[in-house]
Amino acid sequence: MATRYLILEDGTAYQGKAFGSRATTTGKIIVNSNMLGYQEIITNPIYHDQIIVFTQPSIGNIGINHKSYESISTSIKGVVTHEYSDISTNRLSKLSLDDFLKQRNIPGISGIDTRELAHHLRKHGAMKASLVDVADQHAFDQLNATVLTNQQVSQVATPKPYPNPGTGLNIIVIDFGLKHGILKQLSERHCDTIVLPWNVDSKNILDLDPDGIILSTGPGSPYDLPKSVLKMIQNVQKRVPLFAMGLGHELFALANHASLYQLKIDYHNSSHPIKEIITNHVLYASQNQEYSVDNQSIQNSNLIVTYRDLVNRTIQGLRHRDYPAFSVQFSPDGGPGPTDSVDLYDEFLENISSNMNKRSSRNDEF
Amino acid sequence: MNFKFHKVLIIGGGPSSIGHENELDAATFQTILTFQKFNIETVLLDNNPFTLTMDLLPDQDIFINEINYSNVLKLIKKVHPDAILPTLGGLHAIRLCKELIHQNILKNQGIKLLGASQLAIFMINNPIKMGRIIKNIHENIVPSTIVSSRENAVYIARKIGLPVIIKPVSKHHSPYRQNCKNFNQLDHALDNFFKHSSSHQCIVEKSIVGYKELETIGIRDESGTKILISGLENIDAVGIHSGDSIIITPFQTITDPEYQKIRNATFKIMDALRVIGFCHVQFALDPTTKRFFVTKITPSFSRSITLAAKATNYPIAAVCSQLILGRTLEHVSLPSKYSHLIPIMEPTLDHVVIKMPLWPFDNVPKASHHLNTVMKSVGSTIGIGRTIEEAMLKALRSSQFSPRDVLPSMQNLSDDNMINQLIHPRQNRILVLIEALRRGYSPAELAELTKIDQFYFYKLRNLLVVENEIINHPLRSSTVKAAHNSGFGDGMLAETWNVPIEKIFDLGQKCHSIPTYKAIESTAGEVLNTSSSYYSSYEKENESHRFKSDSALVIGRGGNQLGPNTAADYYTAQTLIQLHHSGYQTIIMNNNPNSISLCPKISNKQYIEPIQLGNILDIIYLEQPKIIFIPGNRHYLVRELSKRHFKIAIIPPDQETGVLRDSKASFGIDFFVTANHCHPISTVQFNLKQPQQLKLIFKYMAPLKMSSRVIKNLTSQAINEIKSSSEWHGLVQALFIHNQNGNHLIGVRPLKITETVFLNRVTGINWIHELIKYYTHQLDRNKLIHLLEHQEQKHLEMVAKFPFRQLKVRTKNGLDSQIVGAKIEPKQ
Repeated sequence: MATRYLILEDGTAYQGKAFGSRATTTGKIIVNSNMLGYQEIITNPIYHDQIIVFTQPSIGNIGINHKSYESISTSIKGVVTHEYSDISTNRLSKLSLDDFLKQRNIPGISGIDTRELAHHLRKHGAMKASLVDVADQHAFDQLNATVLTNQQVSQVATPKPYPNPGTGLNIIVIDFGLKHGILKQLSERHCDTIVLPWNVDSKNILDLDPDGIILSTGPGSPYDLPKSVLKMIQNVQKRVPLFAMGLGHELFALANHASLYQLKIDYHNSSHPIKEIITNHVLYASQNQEYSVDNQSIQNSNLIVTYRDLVNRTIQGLRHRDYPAFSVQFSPDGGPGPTDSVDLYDEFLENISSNMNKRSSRNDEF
Repeated sequence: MNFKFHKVLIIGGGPSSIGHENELDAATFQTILTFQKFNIETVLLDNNPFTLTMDLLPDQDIFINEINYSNVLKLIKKVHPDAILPTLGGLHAIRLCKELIHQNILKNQGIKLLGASQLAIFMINNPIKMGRIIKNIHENIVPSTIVSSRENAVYIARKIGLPVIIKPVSKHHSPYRQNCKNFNQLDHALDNFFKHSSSHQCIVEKSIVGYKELETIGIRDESGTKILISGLENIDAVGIHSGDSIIITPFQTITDPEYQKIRNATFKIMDALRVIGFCHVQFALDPTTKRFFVTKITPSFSRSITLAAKATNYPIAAVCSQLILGRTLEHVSLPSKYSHLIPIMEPTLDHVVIKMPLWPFDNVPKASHHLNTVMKSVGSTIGIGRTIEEAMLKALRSSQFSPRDVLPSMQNLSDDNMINQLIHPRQNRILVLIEALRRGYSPAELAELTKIDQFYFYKLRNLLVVENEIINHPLRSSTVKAAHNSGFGDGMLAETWNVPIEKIFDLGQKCHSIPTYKAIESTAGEVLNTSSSYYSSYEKENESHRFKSDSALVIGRGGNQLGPNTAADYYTAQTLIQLHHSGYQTIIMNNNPNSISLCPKISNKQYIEPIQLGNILDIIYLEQPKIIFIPGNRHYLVRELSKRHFKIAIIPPDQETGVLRDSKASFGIDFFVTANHCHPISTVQFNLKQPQQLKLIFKYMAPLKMSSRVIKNLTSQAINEIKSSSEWHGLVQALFIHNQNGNHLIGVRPLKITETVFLNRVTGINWIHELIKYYTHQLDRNKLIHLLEHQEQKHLEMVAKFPFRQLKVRTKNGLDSQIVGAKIEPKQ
């Protein structure tokens, strides 16, 4: 196996062995500490343009399987691991993690002390990294000169609307970098879903007469999206029950005049306890977080904090004081990670039903 | 904190046996420490002499007696506890508690049940109750039906389809079961088992042989918060008892959604049983349909829970003892050792742990060597690494006890024999599997034959590639690096290449293949400084640093085997405790997950590593200990370490150094021997009626009933013999034979490990502590004399326990080397 290097913006170089594609790539490096679910992680659009470090000792152990895609097109910039296994368990064709990464032109590097790397990144903060053949000055110059895109959402979200038909409630999902888990949960609840591009305006949404709206998870910073998105949210939350997750949650907070701050280091794991404040119930969920809602800013907003991380005390959930709209920072549908909070989807649908009753009783009055 | 109870009765685990080593002691030890911190009085009923717990409590709170219903009842009437904790004494304690509930004792006496709910206690060993609970929470159990006639059994078997498992219905847990692949076998099994059942009933159950076996360990607090501590994947499929299976953690070969389903099911079960504390659940996963079944629920402490605690270094016992008191996971406060650990974070690992069972077949050759649904292993070793290969080889190397760190060769196994052993596994099957790969079997073929996931064969094949490199490219730095990365030991390379071990070290240095030590901790590097336990791996970052003050390295005994091992582990733990008192930073090196000596509470630093010369030298190189304690039975290691001029102390000493003129004895006198003095301690009787073969002594009574004049005379005889040689120091025993001609001194030997512990119990003096003081030059002779003069000897009897019944072997006399545990009781 050929020697390859992982180089970091701060000048650190790691020697390892190549797998997957041999492309030279650059992206933001992040650490994911989940113990299972490498395929879900690699295919999740929130990792668009990023290099993922896995702390789990070995990935690829169960090959690539059709049920574990969070998106079919993959756009990460690299995989860093201590070890990978070249195993295929597909019924119809041989497809190992190595094959898969080659097909998608994604480079991988193995033989890295990922525990040390995780410690290093935690100490020195988020940074850029490259996977290269030679770790010379030129490579570092290239890395330092590379400006990472801030247009992640427009690069991964669907440009065109599409339906995900069902027999139940009419749900509109605004795609900021949608993962399949969200659609899967709606399908299980028979929802008649339409997925719309992230830059759709509120008129177009309301014209479709939705029963409820979901703001999806997605990559990047909420501050990189145009103000029109916040306007859209402000308009629709008054009219239709709304449920937002991840990037959607951050946008929901901004639309309601809260502010955000960037964490020193991104957090990608599912081991933190998250407390539901009203019930004191503690749950665990997949957290993929670069920003957090600022505690102070909540006081001047119309928002109530509903969930909080008990380890770093960050806000994990919000609810609007006046409208049937709520949001969570984490992914309730797992992929990978616990499904302790999956009933938030049911809560959303119940919100819709009670809102409909209210509406119909209001109509009766007229 | 205010508690609703102030005095807790703990039912102990009793003598160790197959399936139970020192893990219950370790858990009880931690629990009592917590209770003491909150000023809760603990009363203990136990008769296992080899427990640290007995040293923790004042005499008046320990009741040394057979653990049975009438003794529990007597104790309750005597001490009036207001709570009872049955989950630290294995299934036996649970059964006794069930009886107490049945007889309304708990209710009438106002005794609160801790740890397990009444529902959970009634469910254990009651498949019907368990089935009902599982069905209520919409999870699957293996379809099974109770039948009372042959016709009915055949009808059911046809309905659920062959193969089926037949088990007799019995009040107590029965290990008997048979897998029937055809109706002939079914007939035969029914014949057998209707007889075994008191109610003439059998259970017909769908066979899940060949399914993937998975285990989870969860904990839950009073408020219903739950975390999953660990998932244990049995590499062996269902059909081999989980205690005899090679186990890996974290899960390796299931998908995340499968994992989440198993996690959710565990939580639902804990909620349904209202568990407060720990719970162990076992699952069988059908590899084709991906359906899983709940096969067993154990809400009491077990070796699986210990394994989870060792693998994650999450202090399960310390946390759960606070949950029992009503604290929530959010508010548990841990001992300073864990101060940075956040108990409510769900563990996530960045290392792999593999458990390798150890079997007693060398010591009990008559036992059936086939591994099946009846557990036969007496101990286990764990290997920890950054890869599966590394963890696997380290576990294997630890399990072999090979002095030169080489694995037995399977080269001479005939093809037929090999295939036979692939289908009917025996103790060295992992080596047989590697041999099969060496002979060209493909992972797919082997997966089909053994029902082991093909993933593991790919991993074993990687080891073969490295093995070939070792053979074909000797003495190269690159080879050393590849070998290190896969877990091969320096000793193994030195032996293969026929060079001194230092040469391998030099080659490693040249290519920067130097061992680094990684913390065993449960946050995958997120939270720093939560752990004092380490494992080695050849990586970039080293996290273990030399102590600033003097340290002592204690080399443990490794995995438990028959013989004095549970006592030896107690001995090691006491060694560490005293060394700490004596001012040393203590370092333990061991690999037995069930050992109490590895309990982080007892030492300053723990290394979970193979006990092999290469690994020991690596640790010495890093830690530069002032003194090294090594067990006397590791002759090769003692020799090699002495050769390198390290300061070593050999304890416990090797029995073979005894000088005896007869192979029989009737009684002995124990001494504490220092450079200039010889202090008699106590007498101990084996058998006065008839001299006993030394190897067959299984019963000890102390002190001896003999006139003090006679004893005085014998003592001075013994002192003369002891003083005649400079060999004797520390704890020494003079042996005597009693016959019609009177009493005759037959020689002197080091005091045996088991007898040392017994002596502690008889005299109330901790002789291991005195011994360590002696070795570290801190023994105060006047204090020792004071102790001896003021001792109040108890009249006790210790009887060794043998595993013959569990192994289904008929043997009248057990040898020293076949002892699995012991019990003590007071004698007047």
